Amino acid sequence: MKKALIIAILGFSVNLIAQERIFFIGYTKNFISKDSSNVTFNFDLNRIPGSTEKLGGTFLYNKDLGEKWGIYLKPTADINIGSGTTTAPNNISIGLPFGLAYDGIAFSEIPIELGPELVADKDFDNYLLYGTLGAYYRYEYKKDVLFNISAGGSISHGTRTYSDEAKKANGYSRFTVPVYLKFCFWNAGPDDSPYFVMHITNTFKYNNVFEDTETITPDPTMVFNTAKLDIYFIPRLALSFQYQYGYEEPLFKKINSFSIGLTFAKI
Amino acid sequence: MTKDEITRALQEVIALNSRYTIDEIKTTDRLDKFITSFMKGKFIRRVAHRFPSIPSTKLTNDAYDSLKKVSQLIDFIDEIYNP
Repeated sequence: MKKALIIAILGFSVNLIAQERIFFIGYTKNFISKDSSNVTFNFDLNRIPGSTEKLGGTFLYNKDLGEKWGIYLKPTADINIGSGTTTAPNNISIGLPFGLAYDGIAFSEIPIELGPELVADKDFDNYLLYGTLGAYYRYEYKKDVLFNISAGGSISHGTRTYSDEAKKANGYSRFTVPVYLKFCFWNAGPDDSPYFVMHITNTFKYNNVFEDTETITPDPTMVFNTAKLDIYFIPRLALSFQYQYGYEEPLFKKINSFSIGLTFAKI
Repeated sequence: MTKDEITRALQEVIALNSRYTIDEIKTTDRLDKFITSFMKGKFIRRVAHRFPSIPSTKLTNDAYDSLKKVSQLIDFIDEIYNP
């Protein structure tokens, strides 16, 4: 009776184990001086810049091409806004990759993607518009635990533009190696016992910006990493801890911050 | 194609793309028990290859959203093959 009541209150059963993040809002402590405590907001739709690592979401087209191949077209978006200047990447990015995917390997997908991307700072004062060509490998293990990996390489070429007309636009090119890892586990028993789900996610990006203005990227090597732990006590809401370090498009300001907050997800 | 044939064929596609055997795949189970939305694009393309008449883009967008269970996917396909 007590067990049934807990399940009814929590509103889920052991089948409800795969949440998809929608957005995160939290309090952020920055380890860089004079910009210490802020609010951070993240919204994810299918992507991080440089790689459409999340394959859920909406497709504009998705079709098989015979037994082992497929093609797709899907919009992607990512928003990372912080009230401080160095507590979050402070970027808004959207993309529309067209993908040709090889589906012939079990539990895996190997897509080649080509498409336009726009990455702007939160005020749209400084934005990048470029085309990206990338190849990725994606893999899933799902039974007793969930393990996802997405890794690959991409090359982008376009322009950096400023809303201030006094500043002249310049060419922008980069080579990127993104690696996305996700590990989830739960304490569900064989019956409908209550449980929580823990998601551990790490997103790493190595950027080599080989064409840009030196005032923004004096060093071409720009690495960015986000590590996140989500603990779901109910399926749609998680307590989240996030650590970000590195330099991210479009402004490449140094970030070294820890956030605690809530992640809202769909199931 | 009868509904039973559709059920069996869909279970075969799920089994081929997951760590579960055909016998372990119940129609009352949720799709994400076997394959998560991380692999949604590939999974639906494989379903579309098995059922060429289905609108694969619509099914991709509905799967894991309004079609969460195996039985709902079967009903979606059955409605197209047996209107």
